[in-house]
Amino acid sequence: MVASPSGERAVSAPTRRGTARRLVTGNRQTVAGLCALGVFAVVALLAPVIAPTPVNTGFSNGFAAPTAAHPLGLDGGGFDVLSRLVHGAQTSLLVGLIAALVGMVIGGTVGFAAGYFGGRTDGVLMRITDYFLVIPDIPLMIVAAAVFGQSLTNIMIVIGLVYWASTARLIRAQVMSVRQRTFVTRVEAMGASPLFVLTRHVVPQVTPLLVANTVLMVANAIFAETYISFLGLGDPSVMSWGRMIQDALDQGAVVAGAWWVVLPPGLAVTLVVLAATIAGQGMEDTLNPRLKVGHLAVRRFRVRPLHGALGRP
Amino acid sequence: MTTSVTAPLLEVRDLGVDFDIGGGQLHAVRGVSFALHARDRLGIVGESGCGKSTVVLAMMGLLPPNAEVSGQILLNGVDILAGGDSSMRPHRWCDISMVFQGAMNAFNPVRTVGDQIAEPIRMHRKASRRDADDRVAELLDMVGIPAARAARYPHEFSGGMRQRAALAMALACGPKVLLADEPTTALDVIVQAEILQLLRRVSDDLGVALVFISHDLPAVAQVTERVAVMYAGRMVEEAPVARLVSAPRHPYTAALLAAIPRPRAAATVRSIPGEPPRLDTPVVGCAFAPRCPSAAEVCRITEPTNTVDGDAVVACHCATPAGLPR
Amino acid sequence: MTPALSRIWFALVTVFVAATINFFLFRVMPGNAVSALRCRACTPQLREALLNRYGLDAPLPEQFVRYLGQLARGDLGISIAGGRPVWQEITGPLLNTLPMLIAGTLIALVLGVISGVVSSWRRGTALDAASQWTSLACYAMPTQWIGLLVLFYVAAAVGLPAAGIQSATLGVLGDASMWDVLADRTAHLILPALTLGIGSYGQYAIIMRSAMLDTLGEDYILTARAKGLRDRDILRYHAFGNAMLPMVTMVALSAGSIVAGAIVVEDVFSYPGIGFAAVDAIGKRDYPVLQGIFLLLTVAVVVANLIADLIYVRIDPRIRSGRVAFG
Repeated sequence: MVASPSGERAVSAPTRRGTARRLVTGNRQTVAGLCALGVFAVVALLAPVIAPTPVNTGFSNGFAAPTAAHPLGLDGGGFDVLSRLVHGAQTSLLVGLIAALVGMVIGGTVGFAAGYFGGRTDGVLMRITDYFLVIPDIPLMIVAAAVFGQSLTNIMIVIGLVYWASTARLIRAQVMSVRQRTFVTRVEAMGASPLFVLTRHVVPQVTPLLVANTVLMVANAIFAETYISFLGLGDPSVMSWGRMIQDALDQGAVVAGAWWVVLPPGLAVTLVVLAATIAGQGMEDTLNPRLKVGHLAVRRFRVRPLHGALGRP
Repeated sequence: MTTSVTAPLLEVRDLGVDFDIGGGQLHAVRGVSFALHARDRLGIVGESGCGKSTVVLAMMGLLPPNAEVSGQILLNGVDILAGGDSSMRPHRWCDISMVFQGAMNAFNPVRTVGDQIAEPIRMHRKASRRDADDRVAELLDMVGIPAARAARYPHEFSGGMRQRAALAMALACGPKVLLADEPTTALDVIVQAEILQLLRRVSDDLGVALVFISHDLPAVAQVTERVAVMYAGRMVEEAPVARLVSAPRHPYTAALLAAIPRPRAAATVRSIPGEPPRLDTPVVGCAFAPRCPSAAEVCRITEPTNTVDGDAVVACHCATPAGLPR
Repeated sequence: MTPALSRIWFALVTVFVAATINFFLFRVMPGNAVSALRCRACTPQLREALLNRYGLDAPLPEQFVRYLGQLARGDLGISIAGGRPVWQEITGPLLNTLPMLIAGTLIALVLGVISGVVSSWRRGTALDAASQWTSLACYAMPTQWIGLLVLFYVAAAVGLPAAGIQSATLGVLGDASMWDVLADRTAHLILPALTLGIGSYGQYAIIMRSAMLDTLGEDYILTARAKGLRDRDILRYHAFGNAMLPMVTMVALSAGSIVAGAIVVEDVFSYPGIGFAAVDAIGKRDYPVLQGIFLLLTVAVVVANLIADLIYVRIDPRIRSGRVAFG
């Protein structure tokens, strides 16, 4: 059908360095999301320094509204909420990052192998991936955490071990699509070794997508960690936002009307997950812009009014 | 305003379409004018990007939001363009309808073909389901499709049948004007011939005025009585088909005719050198001048105006009444 | 093997895989199910006896075979903490959860569809942006936190019960009719279902918007406009039907996350459903119950996927008739 002329520029083939830069800066969403994540990361790294008080020091017997000394007040156990929040950032971000990396490594490897070798390897690997895709992820994590949990390292591994499947599928599809492109078959026909093809062509084309997907997985991992800690399966020796939400519930913050205990941890999780999701989606958009014309639009075509003299009825 | 019996059914006056693309404007159609009477069959030919599809989309009011339209489209003397989209909507399908390029996808895959043909009938004519179904059977019969096929889904039709069904759908509300945008592209030759024959028959039997858009001049010549040639958004020549083919006045028309491959010709195919101009900059002089074998100095400076020559119209500085020397 | 049969076979194998993971998880952990059990009254002798009773001191292959045999008979084992068969422990809660889960999913679907349709129709406007941001924000919020917010701000304001499944006063001052019970139960499930719906609708909104945008760019939409249809008719009769197809798949894919949401929602609202039972079992480290619940949830999700697959095949005419075009 007739396509309307529009202003998109042709997308040129990306260079390696250009892709990395484009991925990070090419999209306003990505930049905003990454900046927000950066802020949280800085807070997390500097937690011991910027937390106003030590985490486990009690200041009273129960809830206390925010004051200058305790900007977010005290929770039901008398602990300073802001300090707990800041320390919780460490846990959430660390878990998010490591778990996402674990998932990326497993998923990426499986995806690469399946996509590159095809055939029976592909069949077997994809079957396994499919099982993991269908089995409900968080319940599985809960069960695994119930068994192995109570340690931060284990939590990170458990989350990564459950979330790798969708990455595997994505990477496999991308690897297969790259392999089938003409320039790759041409290079292979010229006698290039599989390793050459892999490193010079497949990897550069697939890595950006892998990075975008990992950022999205950070969001999922932080989300999952919140669930696990909320259910009491987290590491009891570290503070985490999920645990703070659980405490808010257990300590009766709702009944006590202590909004300063209820709002901050959930808000923090929401903001971090939002930032990571936006950044990841922005990256995916940069790599794969969806330029679609829509036939129903709010505005219609404009009609230029007649200038005077043609006035026939 | 004349009310004589030769008043045109549809008149397009000085139609212009500009598209607003990021950082500039694309002048897709410039100053196009023509008139249609009942039973007229007009062909519009030109290469890709010359603006012919844009003209018919403008006539239906189906341009995208970044389009700016100027000029007038008079249906029975009333300018339906003036009020924008909402003033055109009541006329759609009942007065002017369209068969789209690539009718393969013009049907919704999850609804039956019969349903979709009946849809405008039930909407515009407020017909009952049974009456609509009767009419659908009638329409399918007219285009040579067994009525039982109405209950089938689009993917169950072959390309040629889908095109015919699209034609049946276009005729559903008894329009006075039918716009056919490249109806035979992507069909094989035999099916093409059938569709062309069908278009002729429909126009004769139903008195529908037909506008046939194509880049395929021979196909257009088989169906239409008059042909308009478009180049770079302008109509450069409009003439009765016989005269256009035998004695073209515009160099572009002559080049188009010369470029048609003939089965027994010994000579190689003569293509037109160069490329059509970019439409995002205003044209200086005649748009065809860079590629024209008979271009003169005046052609690069002044844009030619429309010269009426008997029953033809040409826009060329060098046009002669007897046709161009070959 | 027909497509339908192969999907059913896949579903069965998936459940088997889940059961196997289940089995090995609890045999690989440090200690064993009994040593991990948290009960104050458990002496070492009692733990020993329990070990013996549950056959946890038998060799691994033998345990596995016995486990599979039990599963085949529908026996999910015996709750270590309670001593009763796991089935008994979870049937009641399961029946409590179902209405809440269905209501929550429906709320999420309605919200998601509306958000997606509005967004796509008014693409590029402030309404689109607002709608997208709202659904993204709700998607990013932990469902348990939404529950807390609902408890905090909504429950008292609306006067709906915020805990449990039945009012304590029901039936105390005279017999409660079936209608009374029904009304009471419904009142109790509104807030949890609402929370679940708000927390889950984000993904539906995203998919709906995307599907609608894809659909609205198709040629047949332009044809519909050419026919003189109004925007709302086009949306209703052409765009919506096509866009709902991917939604069917999405509902199946989201079953896992909805179930996860249900677990925490029940915890927040003390709603005695299967999620609450799971949280309880976690607290006590009652592994057989936890295993049983996980297996049950997996089966539910697998079945949901299967149904969605089979429905999709039936509702998409292109796949359903599958006949080659002729003529």
